[in-house]
Amino acid sequence: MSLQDQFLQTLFSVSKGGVDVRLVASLQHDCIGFPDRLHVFVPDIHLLTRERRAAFSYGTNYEGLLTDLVLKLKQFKSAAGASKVNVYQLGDLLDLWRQAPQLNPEQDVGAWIANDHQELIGALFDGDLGMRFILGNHDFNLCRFPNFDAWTACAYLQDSAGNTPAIALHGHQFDWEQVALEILPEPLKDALVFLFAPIWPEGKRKLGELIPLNEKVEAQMAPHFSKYIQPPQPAPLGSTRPASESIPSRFNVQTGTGQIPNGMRYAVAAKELCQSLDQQWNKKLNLAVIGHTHQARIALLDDSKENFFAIVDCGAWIEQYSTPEIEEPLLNAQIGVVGCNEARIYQLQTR
Amino acid sequence: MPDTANIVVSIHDSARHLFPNTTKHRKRLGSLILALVAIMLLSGCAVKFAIVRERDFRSEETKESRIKLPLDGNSAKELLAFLKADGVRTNMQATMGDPYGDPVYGSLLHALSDSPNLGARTQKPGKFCQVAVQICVQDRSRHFQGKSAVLDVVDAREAKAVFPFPVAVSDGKFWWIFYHKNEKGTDQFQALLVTKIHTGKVANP
Repeated sequence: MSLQDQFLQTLFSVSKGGVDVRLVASLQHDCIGFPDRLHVFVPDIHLLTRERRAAFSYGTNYEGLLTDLVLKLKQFKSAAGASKVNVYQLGDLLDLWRQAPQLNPEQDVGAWIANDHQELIGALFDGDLGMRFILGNHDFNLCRFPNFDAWTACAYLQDSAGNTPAIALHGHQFDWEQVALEILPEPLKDALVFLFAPIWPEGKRKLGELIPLNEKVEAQMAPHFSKYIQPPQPAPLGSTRPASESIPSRFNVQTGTGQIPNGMRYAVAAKELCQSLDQQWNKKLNLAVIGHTHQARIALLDDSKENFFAIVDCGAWIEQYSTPEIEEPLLNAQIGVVGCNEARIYQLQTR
Repeated sequence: MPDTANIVVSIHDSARHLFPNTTKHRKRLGSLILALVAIMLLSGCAVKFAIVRERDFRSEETKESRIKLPLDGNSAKELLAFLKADGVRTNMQATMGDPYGDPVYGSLLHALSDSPNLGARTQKPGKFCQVAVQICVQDRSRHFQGKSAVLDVVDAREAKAVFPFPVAVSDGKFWWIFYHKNEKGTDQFQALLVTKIHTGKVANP
Protein backbone atom coordinates (compact mmCIF):
# COMPACT_ATOMS: atom_id res chain seq x y z
CA MET A 1 0.00 0.00 0.00
CA SER A 2 1.43 3.41 -0.97
CA LEU A 3 1.99 6.12 1.60
CA GLN A 4 -0.91 8.02 0.01
CA ASP A 5 -3.23 5.10 0.63
CA GLN A 6 -1.91 4.56 4.15
CA PHE A 7 -2.62 8.20 4.84
CA LEU A 8 -6.17 7.84 3.54
CA GLN A 9 -6.71 4.89 5.88
CA THR A 10 -5.56 7.15 8.71
CA LEU A 11 -8.20 9.72 7.76
CA PHE A 12 -10.90 7.04 7.89
CA SER A 13 -9.86 6.24 11.47
CA VAL A 14 -10.18 9.83 12.75
CA SER A 15 -12.86 10.31 15.43
CA LYS A 16 -13.08 6.52 15.79
CA GLY A 17 -14.31 6.26 12.23
CA GLY A 18 -17.13 8.71 12.75
CA VAL A 19 -16.02 10.88 9.90
CA ASP A 20 -16.90 11.14 6.22
CA VAL A 21 -13.92 11.67 3.96
CA ARG A 22 -14.51 13.05 0.48
CA LEU A 23 -12.07 13.61 -2.32
CA VAL A 24 -12.03 17.23 -3.47
CA ALA A 25 -9.37 16.88 -6.15
CA SER A 26 -6.51 14.59 -7.16
CA LEU A 27 -3.70 14.74 -9.70
CA GLN A 28 -1.09 12.12 -10.53
CA HIS A 29 1.99 13.19 -12.44
CA ASP A 30 5.65 12.19 -12.39
CA CYS A 31 6.65 15.85 -12.06
CA ILE A 32 4.94 16.15 -8.67
CA GLY A 33 7.74 14.00 -7.30
CA PHE A 34 8.45 12.69 -3.79
CA PRO A 35 8.15 9.01 -4.81
CA ASP A 36 8.89 7.76 -1.29
CA ARG A 37 7.79 10.66 0.86
CA LEU A 38 4.60 12.40 1.93
CA HIS A 39 3.98 16.06 2.77
CA VAL A 40 0.75 16.79 4.64
CA PHE A 41 -0.72 20.30 4.80
CA VAL A 42 -3.19 21.69 7.31
CA PRO A 43 -4.53 24.98 5.91
CA ASP A 44 -6.03 28.11 7.52
CA ILE A 45 -7.57 27.58 10.98
CA HIS A 46 -8.07 31.20 12.19
CA LEU A 47 -8.31 30.57 15.93
CA LEU A 48 -9.49 33.30 18.29
CA THR A 49 -9.89 33.25 22.04
CA ARG A 50 -13.27 31.80 22.94
CA GLU A 51 -14.39 35.12 24.32
CA ARG A 52 -13.48 36.95 21.11
CA ARG A 53 -14.99 34.20 18.96
CA ALA A 54 -18.41 35.04 20.41
CA ALA A 55 -18.29 38.40 18.61
CA PHE A 56 -18.40 36.72 15.19
CA SER A 57 -21.05 34.71 13.40
CA TYR A 58 -18.38 32.31 12.09
CA GLY A 59 -15.24 30.67 13.43
CA THR A 60 -12.99 27.64 13.26
CA ASN A 61 -14.90 24.56 12.08
CA TYR A 62 -14.80 21.19 13.86
CA GLU A 63 -12.04 22.00 16.37
CA GLY A 64 -12.46 18.63 18.10
CA LEU A 65 -12.24 16.77 14.80
CA LEU A 66 -9.13 18.72 13.87
CA THR A 67 -7.52 17.84 17.20
CA ASP A 68 -8.27 14.15 16.60
CA LEU A 69 -6.86 14.43 13.10
CA VAL A 70 -3.61 15.96 14.33
CA LEU A 71 -3.21 13.25 16.99
CA LYS A 72 -3.75 10.60 14.29
CA LEU A 73 -1.20 12.32 12.07
CA LYS A 74 1.38 11.87 14.80
CA GLN A 75 0.63 8.14 14.98
CA PHE A 76 0.75 7.89 11.19
CA LYS A 77 4.12 9.62 11.05
CA SER A 78 5.53 7.41 13.76
CA ALA A 79 4.32 4.23 11.98
CA ALA A 80 5.48 5.32 8.52
CA GLY A 81 8.88 6.55 9.71
CA ALA A 82 9.58 10.10 10.77
CA SER A 83 11.73 10.87 7.73
CA LYS A 84 8.99 9.74 5.33
CA VAL A 85 6.29 12.16 6.48
CA ASN A 86 6.47 15.92 6.88
CA VAL A 87 3.62 17.94 8.28
CA TYR A 88 2.97 21.64 7.68
CA GLN A 89 0.52 24.23 8.85
CA LEU A 90 0.07 26.64 5.96
CA GLY A 91 -0.47 29.87 7.94
CA ASP A 92 -3.34 31.76 9.60
CA LEU A 93 -3.39 29.28 12.44
CA LEU A 94 -4.03 32.19 14.82
CA ASP A 95 -6.13 35.15 13.73
CA LEU A 96 -4.44 38.22 15.21
CA TRP A 97 -6.33 40.54 12.86
CA ARG A 98 -9.74 39.61 14.20
CA GLN A 99 -8.54 39.12 17.78
CA ALA A 100 -7.38 42.70 18.36
CA PRO A 101 -7.80 45.84 16.28
CA GLN A 102 -4.21 46.95 16.83
CA LEU A 103 -0.98 45.18 17.54
CA ASN A 104 0.57 45.78 20.94
CA PRO A 105 4.21 44.70 20.68
CA GLU A 106 4.33 44.22 24.44
CA GLN A 107 1.47 41.74 24.32
CA ASP A 108 1.88 38.45 22.49
CA VAL A 109 -1.77 38.07 21.52
CA GLY A 110 -1.04 34.85 19.63
CA ALA A 111 0.17 33.20 22.81
CA TRP A 112 -3.05 34.13 24.61
CA ILE A 113 -5.13 32.64 21.79
CA ALA A 114 -3.02 29.50 21.86
CA ASN A 115 -3.47 29.16 25.62
CA ASP A 116 -7.22 29.13 25.08
CA HIS A 117 -7.02 26.07 22.80
CA GLN A 118 -4.63 23.89 24.78
CA GLU A 119 -5.72 20.54 23.35
CA LEU A 120 -5.48 21.52 19.69
CA ILE A 121 -2.36 23.66 20.01
CA GLY A 122 -0.73 21.11 22.30
CA ALA A 123 -1.28 18.49 19.58
CA LEU A 124 0.03 20.77 16.82
CA PHE A 125 3.13 21.76 18.86
CA ASP A 126 3.95 18.16 19.82
CA GLY A 127 7.65 17.57 19.20
CA ASP A 128 7.04 14.08 17.78
CA LEU A 129 4.71 15.48 15.12
CA GLY A 130 7.43 17.96 14.10
CA MET A 131 4.97 20.26 12.40
CA ARG A 132 6.50 23.08 10.40
CA PHE A 133 4.64 26.39 10.76
CA ILE A 134 4.33 28.94 7.97
CA LEU A 135 3.25 32.52 8.61
CA GLY A 136 0.00 33.74 7.06
CA ASN A 137 -1.25 37.30 6.73
CA HIS A 138 -3.52 37.03 9.78
CA ASP A 139 -0.69 35.80 12.01
CA PHE A 140 2.24 37.49 10.32
CA ASN A 141 3.07 39.59 13.39
CA LEU A 142 3.94 36.45 15.31
CA CYS A 143 7.37 36.75 13.72
CA ARG A 144 8.11 39.43 16.36
CA PHE A 145 7.73 37.13 19.34
CA PRO A 146 10.14 34.55 20.78
CA ASN A 147 7.44 31.88 21.15
CA PHE A 148 7.03 31.80 17.37
CA ASP A 149 10.61 32.39 16.31
CA ALA A 150 10.76 29.17 14.29
CA TRP A 151 7.85 30.11 12.00
CA THR A 152 8.85 31.09 8.49
CA ALA A 153 7.42 32.73 5.37
CA CYS A 154 7.73 29.64 3.20
CA ALA A 155 9.16 26.13 3.11
CA TYR A 156 10.95 24.35 0.30
CA LEU A 157 9.96 20.71 0.06
CA GLN A 158 12.90 18.40 -0.53
CA ASP A 159 12.78 14.84 -1.79
CA SER A 160 15.09 12.07 -0.64
CA ALA A 161 17.48 12.76 -3.53
CA GLY A 162 17.92 16.38 -2.42
CA ASN A 163 15.81 17.88 -5.21
CA THR A 164 13.30 20.63 -4.41
CA PRO A 165 10.27 20.24 -6.68
CA ALA A 166 7.80 22.18 -4.52
CA ILE A 167 7.35 25.22 -2.30
CA ALA A 168 4.78 25.75 0.45
CA LEU A 169 3.65 29.25 1.35
CA HIS A 170 0.50 30.82 2.69
CA GLY A 171 -0.37 32.60 -0.56
CA HIS A 172 -1.12 36.12 0.71
CA GLN A 173 2.12 37.24 -0.90
CA PHE A 174 0.18 37.49 -4.15
CA ASP A 175 -2.16 40.04 -2.48
CA TRP A 176 0.85 41.94 -1.16
CA GLU A 177 2.23 42.41 -4.61
CA GLN A 178 -1.06 43.94 -5.77
CA VAL A 179 -1.18 46.38 -2.86
CA ALA A 180 2.46 47.31 -3.27
CA LEU A 181 1.83 48.24 -6.86
CA GLU A 182 -1.15 50.40 -5.89
CA ILE A 183 0.45 52.46 -3.15
CA LEU A 184 4.03 53.01 -4.16
CA PRO A 185 5.64 55.58 -6.44
CA GLU A 186 6.86 54.16 -9.72
CA PRO A 187 10.65 54.26 -9.11
CA LEU A 188 10.39 52.23 -5.94
CA LYS A 189 8.08 49.49 -7.24
CA ASP A 190 10.71 47.13 -8.53
CA ALA A 191 12.88 47.33 -5.47
CA LEU A 192 9.99 46.85 -3.05
CA VAL A 193 8.26 44.09 -4.97
CA PHE A 194 11.57 42.31 -4.69
CA LEU A 195 11.26 42.61 -0.92
CA PHE A 196 7.62 41.56 -0.85
CA ALA A 197 8.17 38.32 -2.69
CA PRO A 198 8.83 35.36 -0.39
CA ILE A 199 12.27 34.71 -1.73
CA TRP A 200 14.17 34.15 1.46
CA PRO A 201 15.94 30.84 1.20
CA GLU A 202 14.95 29.81 4.71
CA GLY A 203 14.38 31.64 7.95
CA LYS A 204 12.81 35.03 8.15
CA ARG A 205 15.25 37.68 7.17
CA LYS A 206 13.41 40.86 6.27
CA LEU A 207 10.09 39.68 7.70
CA GLY A 208 9.97 42.72 9.99
CA GLU A 209 10.19 45.05 7.02
CA LEU A 210 6.95 43.61 5.66
CA ILE A 211 4.84 44.33 8.72
CA PRO A 212 3.66 47.80 7.56
CA LEU A 213 2.63 46.37 4.21
CA ASN A 214 0.69 43.56 5.86
CA GLU A 215 -1.07 46.15 8.00
CA LYS A 216 -2.02 48.10 4.89
CA VAL A 217 -3.70 44.99 3.48
CA GLU A 218 -5.42 44.39 6.81
CA ALA A 219 -6.84 47.94 6.80
CA GLN A 220 -8.35 47.29 3.38
CA MET A 221 -9.96 44.02 4.43
CA ALA A 222 -10.93 44.67 8.06
CA PRO A 223 -14.34 46.33 7.45
CA HIS A 224 -15.97 43.08 6.38
CA PHE A 225 -14.37 40.74 8.94
CA SER A 226 -17.48 40.80 11.08
CA LYS A 227 -19.19 38.75 8.38
CA TYR A 228 -16.48 36.96 6.43
CA ILE A 229 -12.76 36.86 5.61
CA GLN A 230 -12.71 35.70 2.03
CA PRO A 231 -15.62 36.58 -0.33
CA PRO A 232 -19.04 36.16 1.31
CA GLN A 233 -20.22 33.31 -0.89
CA PRO A 234 -19.25 29.73 0.06
CA ALA A 235 -16.15 28.64 -1.85
CA PRO A 236 -17.15 26.70 -4.99
CA LEU A 237 -15.23 23.42 -5.07
CA GLY A 238 -16.79 21.61 -8.02
CA SER A 239 -17.96 18.04 -7.48
CA THR A 240 -16.54 15.92 -4.69
CA ARG A 241 -16.71 12.13 -4.32
CA PRO A 242 -16.42 9.64 -1.46
CA ALA A 243 -12.76 8.91 -0.81
CA SER A 244 -13.69 5.31 -0.04
CA GLU A 245 -14.15 4.77 -3.78
CA SER A 246 -11.07 4.40 -5.97
CA ILE A 247 -9.00 7.55 -6.32
CA PRO A 248 -8.81 8.68 -9.99
CA SER A 249 -5.46 9.77 -11.37
CA ARG A 250 -7.04 13.09 -12.25
CA PHE A 251 -10.17 14.42 -10.58
CA ASN A 252 -11.63 17.92 -10.43
CA VAL A 253 -8.39 19.50 -11.69
CA GLN A 254 -8.73 23.09 -12.88
CA THR A 255 -7.25 23.79 -16.29
CA GLY A 256 -7.43 26.49 -18.96
CA THR A 257 -9.49 29.33 -17.52
CA GLY A 258 -10.85 27.06 -14.80
CA GLN A 259 -14.04 25.00 -14.49
CA ILE A 260 -15.15 26.64 -11.25
CA PRO A 261 -15.17 30.37 -10.38
CA ASN A 262 -11.65 31.52 -9.42
CA GLY A 263 -10.40 28.03 -10.21
CA MET A 264 -7.10 29.31 -11.59
CA ARG A 265 -6.62 32.14 -9.08
CA TYR A 266 -2.93 32.81 -8.34
CA ALA A 267 -1.73 30.02 -10.66
CA VAL A 268 0.07 32.36 -13.05
CA ALA A 269 1.46 34.51 -10.22
CA ALA A 270 2.70 31.39 -8.44
CA LYS A 271 4.40 30.13 -11.58
CA GLU A 272 6.13 33.48 -12.10
CA LEU A 273 7.28 33.48 -8.51
CA CYS A 274 8.62 29.94 -8.81
CA GLN A 275 10.45 30.80 -12.02
CA SER A 276 12.19 33.70 -10.32
CA LEU A 277 13.09 31.44 -7.41
CA ASP A 278 14.39 28.80 -9.84
CA GLN A 279 16.74 31.36 -11.31
CA GLN A 280 17.82 32.82 -8.02
CA TRP A 281 18.36 29.61 -6.06
CA ASN A 282 19.00 27.16 -8.87
CA LYS A 283 15.90 25.07 -8.22
CA LYS A 284 13.21 23.45 -10.37
CA LEU A 285 9.93 24.15 -8.64
CA ASN A 286 6.98 22.35 -10.24
CA LEU A 287 4.41 22.85 -7.55
CA ALA A 288 3.26 25.56 -5.14
CA VAL A 289 1.18 24.52 -2.14
CA ILE A 290 -0.88 27.33 -0.63
CA GLY A 291 -3.84 28.18 1.62
CA HIS A 292 -5.20 31.70 2.12
CA THR A 293 -8.12 31.69 -0.37
CA HIS A 294 -10.24 29.17 1.59
CA GLN A 295 -11.09 27.56 -1.75
CA ALA A 296 -9.69 24.03 -1.98
CA ARG A 297 -8.61 23.19 -5.53
CA ILE A 298 -5.82 21.91 -7.72
CA ALA A 299 -5.01 24.17 -10.66
CA LEU A 300 -2.85 22.81 -13.44
CA LEU A 301 -1.17 25.40 -15.60
CA ASP A 302 1.00 23.16 -17.74
CA ASP A 303 1.20 19.35 -17.74
CA SER A 304 4.09 18.91 -20.16
CA LYS A 305 7.12 17.22 -18.65
CA GLU A 306 9.38 20.18 -19.41
CA ASN A 307 7.13 22.96 -18.08
CA PHE A 308 4.85 21.21 -15.61
CA PHE A 309 3.38 23.58 -13.07
CA ALA A 310 0.43 23.28 -10.69
CA ILE A 311 -0.82 24.84 -7.49
CA VAL A 312 -2.46 22.89 -4.70
CA ASP A 313 -4.70 25.18 -2.66
CA CYS A 314 -5.47 23.20 0.46
CA GLY A 315 -8.62 25.08 1.54
CA ALA A 316 -9.39 25.96 5.15
CA TRP A 317 -11.01 25.04 8.48
CA ILE A 318 -13.15 28.15 8.52
CA GLU A 319 -16.08 29.39 6.42
CA GLN A 320 -18.03 27.24 3.97
CA TYR A 321 -17.93 25.53 0.60
CA SER A 322 -20.50 24.57 -1.99
CA THR A 323 -20.67 21.87 -4.64
CA PRO A 324 -23.21 21.27 -7.41
CA GLU A 325 -24.60 18.25 -5.49
CA ILE A 326 -25.51 19.99 -2.25
CA GLU A 327 -28.22 22.56 -1.62
CA GLU A 328 -26.89 24.00 1.64
CA PRO A 329 -23.24 25.02 1.95
CA LEU A 330 -21.08 22.87 4.24
CA LEU A 331 -18.22 23.72 6.58
CA ASN A 332 -14.70 23.77 5.18
CA ALA A 333 -12.48 21.11 6.82
CA GLN A 334 -9.82 20.25 4.28
CA ILE A 335 -6.38 18.75 4.21
CA GLY A 336 -3.86 18.54 1.39
CA VAL A 337 -1.30 15.83 0.79
CA VAL A 338 1.52 15.68 -1.72
CA GLY A 339 3.74 12.68 -2.34
CA CYS A 340 4.18 9.46 -4.32
CA ASN A 341 3.93 11.56 -7.52
CA GLU A 342 0.44 12.63 -6.58
CA ALA A 343 -1.43 15.53 -5.00
CA ARG A 344 -4.77 15.08 -3.24
CA ILE A 345 -7.16 17.26 -1.26
CA TYR A 346 -9.71 15.74 1.10
CA GLN A 347 -12.75 17.16 2.85
CA LEU A 348 -13.60 15.82 6.31
CA GLN A 349 -16.94 15.96 7.99
CA THR A 350 -18.33 14.45 11.18
CA ARG A 351 -21.28 12.15 10.71
CA MET B 1 7.56 59.82 21.20
CA PRO B 2 6.24 63.38 21.56
CA ASP B 3 7.69 64.83 18.35
CA THR B 4 6.30 62.27 15.94
CA ALA B 5 3.33 64.39 14.87
CA ASN B 6 5.58 67.37 14.16
CA ILE B 7 7.95 65.21 12.18
CA VAL B 8 5.07 63.91 10.03
CA VAL B 9 3.75 67.45 9.45
CA SER B 10 7.15 68.79 8.50
CA ILE B 11 7.80 65.89 6.13
CA HIS B 12 4.41 66.50 4.53
CA ASP B 13 5.34 70.19 4.13
CA SER B 14 8.55 69.16 2.43
CA ALA B 15 6.54 66.94 0.11
CA ARG B 16 4.42 69.94 -0.91
CA HIS B 17 7.55 71.83 -1.93
CA LEU B 18 8.88 68.85 -3.83
CA PHE B 19 5.62 68.26 -5.71
CA PRO B 20 3.85 71.65 -5.76
CA ASN B 21 1.38 70.91 -8.55
CA THR B 22 0.77 67.18 -8.53
CA THR B 23 -1.73 65.96 -5.99
CA LYS B 24 -1.31 62.39 -7.19
CA HIS B 25 2.40 62.37 -6.52
CA ARG B 26 1.94 64.10 -3.20
CA LYS B 27 -0.56 61.43 -2.15
CA ARG B 28 1.78 58.67 -3.16
CA LEU B 29 4.70 60.25 -1.38
CA GLY B 30 2.49 60.79 1.65
CA SER B 31 1.65 57.07 1.74
CA LEU B 32 5.31 56.20 1.52
CA ILE B 33 6.20 58.63 4.29
CA LEU B 34 3.49 57.24 6.54
CA ALA B 35 4.77 53.73 5.88
CA LEU B 36 8.30 54.83 6.80
CA VAL B 37 7.08 56.56 9.96
CA ALA B 38 5.17 53.38 10.84
CA ILE B 39 8.41 51.42 10.46
CA MET B 40 10.19 53.92 12.73
CA LEU B 41 7.46 53.73 15.35
CA LEU B 42 7.23 49.97 15.24
CA SER B 43 10.97 49.49 15.47
CA GLY B 44 10.92 51.67 18.58
CA CYS B 45 8.42 49.40 20.38
CA ALA B 46 10.15 46.52 22.03
CA VAL B 47 8.71 43.06 22.36
CA LYS B 48 8.63 42.04 26.01
CA PHE B 49 9.88 38.62 27.08
CA ALA B 50 11.32 36.95 30.16
CA ILE B 51 14.69 35.25 30.20
CA VAL B 52 15.53 32.36 32.50
CA ARG B 53 19.01 32.96 33.90
CA GLU B 54 21.84 30.51 34.59
CA ARG B 55 21.62 28.11 37.53
CA ASP B 56 23.14 30.54 40.03
CA PHE B 57 20.45 33.13 39.35
CA ARG B 58 17.25 31.08 39.34
CA SER B 59 15.18 29.38 42.00
CA GLU B 60 15.71 25.88 40.62
CA GLU B 61 18.86 23.92 39.86
CA THR B 62 17.11 21.79 37.26
CA LYS B 63 13.67 21.69 35.70
CA GLU B 64 12.93 18.63 37.80
CA SER B 65 13.48 20.58 41.02
CA ARG B 66 11.03 23.35 40.02
CA ILE B 67 8.95 24.75 42.89
CA LYS B 68 5.52 23.15 42.97
CA LEU B 69 2.44 25.16 43.80
CA PRO B 70 0.83 25.54 46.22
CA LEU B 71 3.93 26.19 48.32
CA ASP B 72 4.48 24.20 51.48
CA GLY B 73 6.47 25.33 54.49
CA ASN B 74 9.78 24.08 53.13
CA SER B 75 9.43 25.45 49.59
CA ALA B 76 8.27 28.81 51.00
CA LYS B 77 11.40 28.93 53.18
CA GLU B 78 13.67 28.06 50.28
CA LEU B 79 12.06 30.59 47.97
CA LEU B 80 12.36 33.30 50.60
CA ALA B 81 16.05 32.47 51.05
CA PHE B 82 16.57 32.89 47.30
CA LEU B 83 14.71 36.21 47.26
CA LYS B 84 16.61 37.49 50.32
CA ALA B 85 19.89 36.62 48.60
CA ASP B 86 18.88 38.95 45.74
CA GLY B 87 18.51 35.99 43.44
CA VAL B 88 22.07 34.68 43.80
CA ARG B 89 22.02 31.05 44.86
CA THR B 90 25.59 31.07 46.12
CA ASN B 91 24.63 33.80 48.62
CA MET B 92 21.61 31.94 49.97
CA GLN B 93 21.37 31.42 53.71
CA ALA B 94 18.93 29.28 55.60
CA THR B 95 15.79 31.21 56.56
CA MET B 96 15.07 31.08 60.25
CA GLY B 97 11.59 31.42 61.62
CA ASP B 98 8.27 31.74 59.80
CA PRO B 99 8.63 32.67 56.12
CA TYR B 100 5.04 33.91 56.07
CA GLY B 101 5.97 36.57 58.64
CA ASP B 102 8.45 38.26 56.32
CA PRO B 103 7.43 41.92 55.95
CA VAL B 104 8.20 42.10 52.21
CA TYR B 105 7.30 38.66 50.85
CA GLY B 106 5.27 37.03 53.64
CA SER B 107 1.79 37.77 52.31
CA LEU B 108 2.78 36.83 48.76
CA LEU B 109 4.22 33.52 49.92
CA HIS B 110 1.05 32.98 51.90
CA ALA B 111 -1.06 33.63 48.80
CA LEU B 112 1.00 31.11 46.84
CA SER B 113 0.48 28.50 49.53
CA ASP B 114 -3.27 28.37 49.19
CA SER B 115 -4.72 26.41 46.27
CA PRO B 116 -7.86 28.51 45.68
CA ASN B 117 -5.62 31.54 45.01
CA LEU B 118 -3.86 29.80 42.14
CA GLY B 119 -6.70 29.84 39.64
CA ALA B 120 -5.69 31.87 36.60
CA ARG B 121 -7.27 33.33 33.54
CA THR B 122 -4.61 32.81 30.89
CA GLN B 123 -6.69 33.43 27.77
CA LYS B 124 -7.23 37.16 27.78
CA PRO B 125 -4.35 39.57 27.27
CA GLY B 126 -3.90 41.97 30.13
CA LYS B 127 -2.18 42.85 33.36
CA PHE B 128 -0.99 40.13 35.68
CA CYS B 129 -3.50 41.13 38.33
CA GLN B 130 -6.31 40.43 35.84
CA VAL B 131 -4.84 36.99 35.23
CA ALA B 132 -4.20 36.03 38.84
CA VAL B 133 -6.69 38.10 40.77
CA GLN B 134 -6.46 36.32 44.11
CA ILE B 135 -2.68 36.41 44.31
CA CYS B 136 -2.73 40.17 43.83
CA VAL B 137 -5.56 40.64 46.31
CA GLN B 138 -3.71 38.69 49.00
CA ASP B 139 -0.26 40.20 48.36
CA ARG B 140 -0.21 43.20 50.67
CA SER B 141 3.13 44.43 49.29
CA ARG B 142 1.60 44.70 45.80
CA HIS B 143 4.61 43.29 43.98
CA PHE B 144 2.72 42.85 40.72
CA GLN B 145 0.35 45.82 40.78
CA GLY B 146 0.05 47.34 37.28
CA LYS B 147 2.56 44.90 35.77
CA SER B 148 1.92 43.22 32.43
CA ALA B 149 1.51 39.48 32.13
CA VAL B 150 4.10 38.26 29.64
CA LEU B 151 3.64 34.99 27.77
CA ASP B 152 7.03 34.79 26.07
CA VAL B 153 9.64 33.05 28.18
CA VAL B 154 13.05 32.24 26.75
CA ASP B 155 14.60 29.23 28.47
CA ALA B 156 17.59 27.86 26.57
CA ARG B 157 17.33 24.53 28.41
CA GLU B 158 14.17 23.75 26.44
CA ALA B 159 14.12 22.38 22.90
CA LYS B 160 11.24 24.73 22.08
CA ALA B 161 8.90 27.12 23.82
CA VAL B 162 7.01 25.42 26.65
CA PHE B 163 3.29 25.04 25.98
CA PRO B 164 0.88 26.05 27.49
CA PHE B 165 2.80 29.29 27.44
CA PRO B 166 3.69 30.14 31.06
CA VAL B 167 2.70 33.50 32.54
CA ALA B 168 5.63 35.69 33.59
CA VAL B 169 5.51 38.89 35.60
CA SER B 170 8.28 41.16 36.76
CA ASP B 171 8.45 42.89 40.12
CA GLY B 172 11.42 44.92 38.91
CA LYS B 173 13.97 42.61 40.54
CA PHE B 174 12.82 39.15 39.51
CA TRP B 175 10.81 37.43 36.80
CA TRP B 176 8.16 35.28 38.44
CA ILE B 177 7.23 32.58 35.92
CA PHE B 178 4.07 30.62 36.56
CA TYR B 179 3.54 27.28 34.76
CA HIS B 180 -0.08 26.32 34.43
CA LYS B 181 -2.40 23.70 33.07
CA ASN B 182 -6.05 23.66 32.13
CA GLU B 183 -7.95 21.13 34.20
CA LYS B 184 -11.69 20.73 33.86
CA GLY B 185 -11.95 24.04 32.03
CA THR B 186 -10.04 26.06 34.62
CA ASP B 187 -6.43 27.15 34.44
CA GLN B 188 -4.42 26.57 37.58
CA PHE B 189 -0.87 27.67 38.40
CA GLN B 190 1.02 24.48 39.16
CA ALA B 191 4.70 25.42 39.36
CA LEU B 192 6.88 28.48 39.78
CA LEU B 193 10.31 29.61 38.67
CA VAL B 194 11.80 32.85 39.94
CA THR B 195 14.86 34.26 38.20
CA LYS B 196 16.94 37.36 38.77
CA ILE B 197 16.64 40.18 36.25
CA HIS B 198 19.91 41.59 35.00
CA THR B 199 19.39 45.31 34.79
CA GLY B 200 22.09 46.12 32.25
CA LYS B 201 21.04 47.14 28.75
CA VAL B 202 21.23 44.65 25.92
CA ALA B 203 23.28 45.97 23.04
CA ASN B 204 21.22 46.44 19.88
CA PRO B 205 22.13 43.58 17.57
